[in-house]
Amino acid sequence: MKYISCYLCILFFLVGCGRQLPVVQKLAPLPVQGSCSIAVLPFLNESTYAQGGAIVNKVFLSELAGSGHFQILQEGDVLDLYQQLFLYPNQLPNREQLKMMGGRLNPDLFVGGVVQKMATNKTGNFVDTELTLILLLYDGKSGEMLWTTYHRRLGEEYQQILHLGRINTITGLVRRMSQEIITDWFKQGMTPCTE
Amino acid sequence: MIKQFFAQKVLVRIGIQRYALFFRYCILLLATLFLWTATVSAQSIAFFPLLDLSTDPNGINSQLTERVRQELLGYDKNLIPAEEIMDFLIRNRIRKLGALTVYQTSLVRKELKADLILLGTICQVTDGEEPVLSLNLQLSRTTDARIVWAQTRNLSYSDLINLFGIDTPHALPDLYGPFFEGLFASLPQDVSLREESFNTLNVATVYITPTTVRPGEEVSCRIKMHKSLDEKGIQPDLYVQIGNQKYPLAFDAEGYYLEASWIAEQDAGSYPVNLLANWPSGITRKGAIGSYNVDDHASGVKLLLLGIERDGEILFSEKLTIIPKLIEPEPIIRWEIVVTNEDGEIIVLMGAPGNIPRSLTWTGNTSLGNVASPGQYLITFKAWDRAERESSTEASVRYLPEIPAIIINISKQKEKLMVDLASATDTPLNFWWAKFFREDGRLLKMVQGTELPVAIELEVKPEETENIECLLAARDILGNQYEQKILNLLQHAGNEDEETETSIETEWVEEF
Repeated sequence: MKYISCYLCILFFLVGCGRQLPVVQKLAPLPVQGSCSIAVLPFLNESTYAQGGAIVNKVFLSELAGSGHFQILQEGDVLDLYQQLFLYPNQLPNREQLKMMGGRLNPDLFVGGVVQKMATNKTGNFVDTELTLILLLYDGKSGEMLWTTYHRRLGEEYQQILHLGRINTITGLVRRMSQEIITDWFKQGMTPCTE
Repeated sequence: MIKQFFAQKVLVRIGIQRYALFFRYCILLLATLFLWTATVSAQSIAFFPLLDLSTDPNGINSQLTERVRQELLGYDKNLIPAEEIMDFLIRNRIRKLGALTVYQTSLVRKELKADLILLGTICQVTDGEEPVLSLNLQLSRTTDARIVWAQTRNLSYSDLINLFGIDTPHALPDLYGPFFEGLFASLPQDVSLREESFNTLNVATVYITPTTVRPGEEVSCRIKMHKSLDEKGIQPDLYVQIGNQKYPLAFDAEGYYLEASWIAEQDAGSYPVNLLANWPSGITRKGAIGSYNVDDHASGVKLLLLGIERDGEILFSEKLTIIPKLIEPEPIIRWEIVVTNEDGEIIVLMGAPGNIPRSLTWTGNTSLGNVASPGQYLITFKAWDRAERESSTEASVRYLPEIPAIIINISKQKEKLMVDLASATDTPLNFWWAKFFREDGRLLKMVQGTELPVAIELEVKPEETENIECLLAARDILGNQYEQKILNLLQHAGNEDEETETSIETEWVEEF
């Protein structure tokens, strides 16, 4: 019994340290009509990685579109509105501005976010990659913040046997983490397009 | 027999005719299938130059663009020539790669006759000993501007290192083989091109002026629309809607902007502006295009002066910190501060556009750089809100930059030396002290206090001829300090009215 409790303690400790699922915080329910049409806002880049926000924006948008469950609004339209509202791509719109964008683009949801940390470090023949993301989901009509998602992963966490599975590029890590976030959103009750 | 023979012949002929009919149907079916296949494979793709994020936010990579184009051709895709794409970008002044608007997508369909658009972004590219390549591709339909396929592929030299280090890539072209292999394998062969009516508002720009108004003032809205995406050119009736009120939009004199104006509401608050479009088919669309605020009163402002308060008056010597505060906080478009002297002359005038400063510091200098004379001053702070409503407040201060001076009167009696100290200025003192030393350095007397005048009595024997040294210090309530050292007090007393050799130092000679 003593050994079993010790083993369980160590197991919980290891599992606790290596939390690999995105953390979703629900501030308000998602739109009743579903989350079919999504406008992806430019991501803020708080990391030192050049163009980190733009990379996450492109890859996350592609993964959302590639999932086949959403209609993704054209990135050009979002950027066009940013320009009209005098917003820099490295800036999050306020609720009033989101409401205005919602009136023009008519999405069900806005997805924006912050790249908190994006880093690569060469170790031997491999590259250590690290990414910390915060995603923010806003209502497409009112601009109200509905969900937030925090996700942090290292490329080496995907390593299985030898060097297999290890993610050596930052784009690869963004892609993998985007897939994990989208899958988790579905599990959390996000309703995709029905058509 | 003959009848039977002819009957059989007729039957055979009927059979042949049936087979012929069957073959004809087969040929017709095959021809239809062939034509359908030909139509499908004829879906044309407009492949735009790749955005290269590894160089700058709007970088271009011609080498990899050409490489991807060759790869697409290998998949038997009907590509719009690169020259036509470049002409299209220049003609329509598209300066940003990797993204298009819905309107630009419709232009691709109209001008380039393309069914699909392929946009790509190079997320990472590193050449050299340790090559890395990451590419993101998005395929959109031109009929409804929807993304129908997206792919992100990434490859690093680290991914290709094997156990014995054989065939490890050492340059970017070494990655091309495994990278481009099967890149477009999942590209849909048949994208259904749904003809959708573009019942979109298709707004290019919106100007609502002014964004903050007083009740009853005129508000105008100017909207520039893109050309209709509806190929039949059916335009909707457009209105600006505020609450339940609708105001029709009409073209201006140049026919460039759609304009509408209305009178602002009497009640203060934020009013959303909606664009309402009614198509002849009965379809209606409404969307928020902006908002404006009605401001019916000024915000009000107050001043907090960080000086020494005495008898309800603010005093300062070195610097005065002025903290302006809005009573009802709201955005401010400009502010101004004015300092006037007792004669009503403006000695400081300063202002700036934007919100009020967190704090201001006045060091007693005028706007021309001169030092203001001691006295009473009036500080006036003004702020204007977005509706140009003025808020103003005043505060009075007294500027006292003078260093406190102490008048010393010394009178010698039989065995006593009387030292009278008095303040030469009106500013109250924080403290003062005086120390008297014999020639050998021993302390004769020490006196301290907060108020002057004061009379100090020193016992000096008549036979004493030694020098008595005096250290004197004072600080007023504004922080101004006074220090004096008299080396020979007796001599100072004896030759009070004459120019003596008494040395008066203004530097500190003692640590305390």
